[in-house]
Amino acid sequence: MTRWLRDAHVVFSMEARRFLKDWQGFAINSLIASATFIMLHLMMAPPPETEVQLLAGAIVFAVGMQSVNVTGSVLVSERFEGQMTLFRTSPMSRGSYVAGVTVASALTALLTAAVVLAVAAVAGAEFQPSVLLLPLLIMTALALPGFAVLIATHVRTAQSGYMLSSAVGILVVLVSPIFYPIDRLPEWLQWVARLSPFTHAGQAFREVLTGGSSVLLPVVVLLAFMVVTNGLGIARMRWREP
Amino acid sequence: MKHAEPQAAIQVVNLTKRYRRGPLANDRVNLRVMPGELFGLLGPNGAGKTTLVRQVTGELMPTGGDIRVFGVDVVRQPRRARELLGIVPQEAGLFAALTVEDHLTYFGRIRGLKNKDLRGRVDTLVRELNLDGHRRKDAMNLSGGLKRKLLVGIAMLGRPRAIILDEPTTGLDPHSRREVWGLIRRYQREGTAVLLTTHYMEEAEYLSDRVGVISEGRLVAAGTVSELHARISNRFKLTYRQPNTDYPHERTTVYGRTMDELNQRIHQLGLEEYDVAKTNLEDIYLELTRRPLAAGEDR
Repeated sequence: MTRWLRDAHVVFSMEARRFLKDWQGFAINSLIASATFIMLHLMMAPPPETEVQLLAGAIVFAVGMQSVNVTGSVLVSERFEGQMTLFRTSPMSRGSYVAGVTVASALTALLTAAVVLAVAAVAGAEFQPSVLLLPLLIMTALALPGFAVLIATHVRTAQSGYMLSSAVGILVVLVSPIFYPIDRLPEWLQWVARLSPFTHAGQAFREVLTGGSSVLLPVVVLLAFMVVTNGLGIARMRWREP
Repeated sequence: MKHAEPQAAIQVVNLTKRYRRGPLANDRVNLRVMPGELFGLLGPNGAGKTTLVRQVTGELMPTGGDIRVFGVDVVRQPRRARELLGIVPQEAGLFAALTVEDHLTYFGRIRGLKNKDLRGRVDTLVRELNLDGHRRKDAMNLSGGLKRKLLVGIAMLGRPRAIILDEPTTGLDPHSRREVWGLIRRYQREGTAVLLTTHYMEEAEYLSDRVGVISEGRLVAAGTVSELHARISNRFKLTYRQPNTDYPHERTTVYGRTMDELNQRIHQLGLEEYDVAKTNLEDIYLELTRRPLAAGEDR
């Protein structure tokens, strides 16, 4: 276990260094997520409860999409540009490698969420800061990257890898009612939406941002997604070529 | 009294690899590399050298056969096997935004090196590979040759008991190539087994204790250079410029079993300027991997 953690930490440090030097990508993602919230805030001038819904939506949109996209694009580029070969030919487990990449990608997503919250506060949005936000952010960031791991290690070309891992994030966000209440959807689509971790993440953020703490159900769902998708990602990823 | 056979560093038995919906890339390959031995693997492009190496490093799953590194089954215990190996893959990428020192430090940690040991090891490899002037350069600013040297350094970090180098000196200038050769030789003298693939005959001849030639997925010959030499019929070669040709720099090579045979040829052609030499590894290689000539093609 110590060795597993040591190796995951090495990969995390390498990826974090890469992100620090490539900060423009992070800045653009933060800008897009913040702009989404600001535009909706200015265009709709919503009442406080709707504004919290928009803020929760902007956070889930930023964290959920970014963690999947960044994990996917890092793994695709490292697979096709050969950095993954260096790890594969080292005495380390695939679990350590994936954990290092996923946690580093999740960290960039958390930083983006922090920027969105800061921008919302400056724009005068009314919300309750809470320590519960941090674990929720972490769980949202780690809910789906396992799918990106599967895609990135099985696709035949880099282009399809980048495209598919972005598509997963977009698709899941699209079916998740994160900017509006779930009951606005037709009933059959509500069932589909409930299968998305981002729907539950949106509900949990709304609850916490309005000062509540009844987030047990969404937390259980997010935890289940985290365990299942990341477990599946590590177990079924292609570490050794067939 | 019967002595136990010494344990091979790398042992490949009946290794077969067939890619899905693809050709037979390795066909029942057998080879053994002993501790302190350097085995050079030669073969034309696409002959199956890299496929073989990637199976030994555990990157690629064999279709059949057995691969062991110091007795450790590479298929069942790939991580344990890689602890014993230093690997220079043919196509590995570096992290563009990390420096030479960063790469050595991070991969040294994965090898279990810490603090003073790690710093010492990084310093030694930087010095041995003559990378002092590039130590703090980002990988993206390194030439292709320097990147290759850094990959060699990463492979040597954990003082491995066996090293696998897949075309380690491709793209290196002659000085750098000799530095890498020096490093490989030093490790070999200290008892490290080396499996090396290369397209440079000079490299294989200079470094290898034994050479294997792979063609169309099969190991068609293996042995010392003199053993391989004994396997081919032509022992001598005559090289000369074609008289009255439009291409005065073009040289023709003719092979012969004996010197007498070549002398007769020299007289027949009335040659005044020519070279006669013993056939070397390149000639052996060409004979062993000979392919049928296409129509109109001259050998």
